[in-house]
Amino acid sequence: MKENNFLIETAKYLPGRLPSLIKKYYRNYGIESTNRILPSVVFNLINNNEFEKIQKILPDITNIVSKFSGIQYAYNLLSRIEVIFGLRKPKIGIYDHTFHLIGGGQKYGCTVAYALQEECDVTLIANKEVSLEDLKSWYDLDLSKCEIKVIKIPFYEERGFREIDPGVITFRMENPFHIISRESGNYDIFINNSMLEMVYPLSNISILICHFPERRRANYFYVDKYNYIIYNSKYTREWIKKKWGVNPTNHIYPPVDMICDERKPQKENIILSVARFEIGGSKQQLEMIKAFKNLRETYPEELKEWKLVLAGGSIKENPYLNKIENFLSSVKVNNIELKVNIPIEEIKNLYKKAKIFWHFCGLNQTDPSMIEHFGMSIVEAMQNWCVPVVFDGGGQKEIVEEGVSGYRFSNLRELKSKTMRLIKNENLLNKFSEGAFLRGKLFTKEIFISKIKNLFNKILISYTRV
Amino acid sequence: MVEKNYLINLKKEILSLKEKLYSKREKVKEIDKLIKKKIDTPYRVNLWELTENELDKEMGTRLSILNEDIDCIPSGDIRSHRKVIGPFVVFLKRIIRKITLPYLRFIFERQKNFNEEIVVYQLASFIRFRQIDGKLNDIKQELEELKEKIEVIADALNSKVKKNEGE
Repeated sequence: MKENNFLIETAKYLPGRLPSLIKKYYRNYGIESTNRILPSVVFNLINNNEFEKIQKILPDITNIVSKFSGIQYAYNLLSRIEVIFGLRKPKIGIYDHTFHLIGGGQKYGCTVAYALQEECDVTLIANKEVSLEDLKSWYDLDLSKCEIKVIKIPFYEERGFREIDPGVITFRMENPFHIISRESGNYDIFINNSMLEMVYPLSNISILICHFPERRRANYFYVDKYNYIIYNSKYTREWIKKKWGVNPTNHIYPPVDMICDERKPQKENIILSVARFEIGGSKQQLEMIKAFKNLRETYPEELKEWKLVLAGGSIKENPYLNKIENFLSSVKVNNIELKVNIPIEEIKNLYKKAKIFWHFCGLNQTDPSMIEHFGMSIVEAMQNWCVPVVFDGGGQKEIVEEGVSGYRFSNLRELKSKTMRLIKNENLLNKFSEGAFLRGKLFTKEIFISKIKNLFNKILISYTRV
Repeated sequence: MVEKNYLINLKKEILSLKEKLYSKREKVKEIDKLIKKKIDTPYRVNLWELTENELDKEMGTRLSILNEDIDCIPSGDIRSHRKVIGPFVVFLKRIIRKITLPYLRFIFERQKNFNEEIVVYQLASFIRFRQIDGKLNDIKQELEELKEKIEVIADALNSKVKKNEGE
């Protein structure tokens, strides 16, 4: 402490002696403690001396810092000084190797950019071509104050990979994501939105947003080098601890903005599912069809007026979707509708009309990554007064309160009995519908933005003060 | 309080220093050198922790690595990082290789054959394992379907019993 004060006093009153003193300090107290004190030393140097002196001394200090802490740290030190003196806005880089694809995780990153674009210069770093217009149309977010920077990754380009799959990288290969690690060094704050553990952060402040730890800890694992780890659900937090052995720092649920009206819309006898038709069938639409068919056979009278609507996106050649279509044509079940790749307006309309929402993701699964990490579509349904009946696992447990805002089930028998309870009892359905709407309001975009702004205010305050 | 002109000059000064650092930074290839810190430490995966899918992937990856390493006969360029005596070291190593290789080739060939057989054997086991896994999944599914059918029958019987009791 005494030594720190001495360094600061020297910066104020004897700036000429500062470079040699910093050198000594590095030798005596090591790199880490010198790095800690340097921002306030340089701040005091600039704040208490004439420009001519600074012009002489600052390059010397930069060279010494480069020599001991590395070029990147010297660069970062100057970047922080720029922000401290208000010479420019803080620069934020948000990286996602899947920005060119539509998804909940990407929406999360874009909403962070949206929340911060006024106070900071935000750049969205992508690996494939994508435009601000695309992002606006996908997520209804005006990101006009942000920039997009596309950095192609040679490893994947040269091999003609259609998508960037980090899973193919083994310890024998060079880390292809170091091109992004280097880019991270150009920002004050670097946000890794794609939980890509192979990007080493070089910025002053680094944040990793984890939607789920997909891969295990292995070589090229740098998650523990990030200052903050934001997670989207408690379920994800547990798996971050189990799989990566690190403690995440901040919990922020994803933004969901599907509230159509504060008043309950006119409802129809529809059980709805909105989920992607995944090739592997992880959303289990086929099981839904079987369960509905079975219900109709058991309760033909009660379910005479009800229909099951399965909506969701799909790729062109989807074997799982073919399997569903074949099943439907072979068993000839009535009252089941498939709505593939329909526009968002139609989805909104379905949410408005449906009384019950089914979500099976995670049923009969042993792999934790196959269980819903959060469940945005469930919240979307709830924000439209739709009663959710969802699998009792993963992030779904955190959304649906059993017997208040919906039901959770562990097996198909439970699903059927709980669904029938709702269908048979209109009062119960109405009560849960209100509960679901109230619960759904806790996950809105506004709440998300205010949480993000709070967190970044705290980060920026400590960054701009020495 | 810092004056406006001072700030403008400061901005220029810092910018020029940063530009210099940036161009220096571009010349350094390794991140370790950029931050004067070692960033990679080898990590051994604990296979017992892996889920079924992860183990499957791990088996595939390891098998392809084994496949790459079948041929153990020394090949490729001999190089030396030493500036002055480098060429001499390379020359010496080349001679040693030339002299010893004909005698060692026999051993290396046997090792290569053995490696080849092992990889094929591992691949066969892997495929067999997959087939068994597939069959097991089919059986599980059949069992589930049977359970569902039993449930339907049980529900139908129950409702009939209730109806009869009512009558």
